[in-house]
Amino acid sequence: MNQTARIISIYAADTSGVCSALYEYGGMTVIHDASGCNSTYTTHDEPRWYDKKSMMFISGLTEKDAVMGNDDKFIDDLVIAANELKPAFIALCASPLPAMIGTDLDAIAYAVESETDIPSFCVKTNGMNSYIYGAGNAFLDLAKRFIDKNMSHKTDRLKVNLLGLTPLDFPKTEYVNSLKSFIKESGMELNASIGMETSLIDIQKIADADVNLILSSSGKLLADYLFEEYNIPFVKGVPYGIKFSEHIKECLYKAGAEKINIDATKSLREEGSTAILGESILSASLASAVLSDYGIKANVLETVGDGDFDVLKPFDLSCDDEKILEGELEKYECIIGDPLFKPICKNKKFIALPHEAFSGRCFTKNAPNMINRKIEIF
Amino acid sequence: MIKIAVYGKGGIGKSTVTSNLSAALAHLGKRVIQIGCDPKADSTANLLSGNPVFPVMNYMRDFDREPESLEEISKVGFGNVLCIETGGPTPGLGCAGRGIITTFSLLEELNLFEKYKPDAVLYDVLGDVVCGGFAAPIREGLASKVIIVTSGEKMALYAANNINSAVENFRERSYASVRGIVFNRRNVLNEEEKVFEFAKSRNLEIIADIPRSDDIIRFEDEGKTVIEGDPTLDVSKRFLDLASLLIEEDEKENN
Repeated sequence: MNQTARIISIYAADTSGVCSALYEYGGMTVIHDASGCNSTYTTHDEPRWYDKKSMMFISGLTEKDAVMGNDDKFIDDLVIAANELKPAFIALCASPLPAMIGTDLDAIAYAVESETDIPSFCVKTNGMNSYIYGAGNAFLDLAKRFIDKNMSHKTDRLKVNLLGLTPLDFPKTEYVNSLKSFIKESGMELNASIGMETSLIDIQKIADADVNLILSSSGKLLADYLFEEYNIPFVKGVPYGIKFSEHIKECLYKAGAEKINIDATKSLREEGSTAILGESILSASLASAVLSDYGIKANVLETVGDGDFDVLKPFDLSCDDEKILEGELEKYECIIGDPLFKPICKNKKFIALPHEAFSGRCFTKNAPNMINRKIEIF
Repeated sequence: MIKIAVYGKGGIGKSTVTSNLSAALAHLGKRVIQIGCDPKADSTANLLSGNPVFPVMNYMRDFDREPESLEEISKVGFGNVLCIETGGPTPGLGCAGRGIITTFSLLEELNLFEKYKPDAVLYDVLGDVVCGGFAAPIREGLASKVIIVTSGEKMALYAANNINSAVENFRERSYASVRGIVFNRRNVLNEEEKVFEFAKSRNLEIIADIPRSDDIIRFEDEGKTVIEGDPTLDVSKRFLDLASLLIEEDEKENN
């Protein structure tokens, strides 16, 4: 069977990406759906659910409402909830059902905003794209609504935004703290941390940065927008390990000074017999880090089937088909990936690297922190 | 940009009006796109001299994939009007309304407006606003004005009223608004009184009055609009006047 996941898991969907991206900004995020999408998200994809409050809702779409086009009922519910909860914004996204019947969520958002005066927008989803698509568009749409270009301050230090942070790629707060320490220890100033350990003020002042650090594909759309609209350059790469973290630091200063975009992984990759499975920017960063620190040559097998493919080398592969992936993995001696990939890795040496977007919370506690420190997964 | 959706009862002459209006706009030097939003896919026939364009949904059905370029699903007709037809699913199956939404999403992905850079886009929409798909052309970003085509026949006026009410209901959604009525005469009893009364009671302007004309039928038999056939005819002038009015309004709105 092609294009099916018979043995391995599948990645979180775009609706989970939207909720994950918007979780900490004080808005009301509503998945237009009968049910199911919300519980999938809260049960599997959101480690903050039990510790941190957020207004995540489901519309409770019924068959009758879908057939009869009872959008007014949805609008009324949104207005009542918004007037009661006073969210900073209202974000709507579609599960497969409204996507199939072509519900105009942009128009519904417009009607709700007219009624409540609360900024409302629709993030394009259909419940079938990847979490990267949903989170990426959610960050972009939020920024477009809330960036305040008048928010600026002067400092001698390089002002850095961290882009693309969601628990789907960075499940522990510890990772964000390590990234913040990395910025501080590098003599830079953290301007905004987009996605985690954040608030709406971070979004408002995002255009005040000198450079963006793209930490996952979910941050790429926003980084492109900030470059096009505000001439803020970006560096792609996660500061894993010792030498690669140092390299990212140098890239950030260079990008800020010369106003150029830099893929930090570009010059630090060599074809090898180790395969790293997962999201492209994180995987390419790990490949660069293990090459720099240990001389281990690793190829990236991008398994989401979405995201930033520019970081991939000719010897890398984008593959979201289980059957093809299984065949590809036979070429490698060592495989680094989420534990749920292990059943298709036969008798190869397997190093577990849990990925929340793929295995939910199953292995989060075992996920190692490799940011700006010695990598100890070998 | 002039962005018009043309609605009206089935068989009332929407495609005739739309394609003549496209031809008239082109005749006046405008770069025009006409998108037929009807499974019958015959909206642009008179701009293409009887050589129809391959409809978008038919393409997807026949090839089981989405077209990768605009060239595969468009054809240039009279006056360089770019002609596109949404087409529809297999008759009796699927969902034609959803097909229209799919087509618009696809045209957006193919960067239709960025690539062709039109001065005017005309959507010729099937019969009545029967479901969400048939309201898709008046969603924000697509048509900004609706033209209702009607004669003095009872059912044509009934449909016109339904369309007007539907568009009114969408006001809170920032959809298009009704610009006016194109009175397409069928020469039925008391026709003028009925249409004028309808327009007055709904506070709608009659923006064009098209006489019943054998010339329209004659040129349609040749696969042409009257604008292409003979722009000096009285009926051609009616369409040219309407085109001029829309151009003038658009220029005012942009200044």
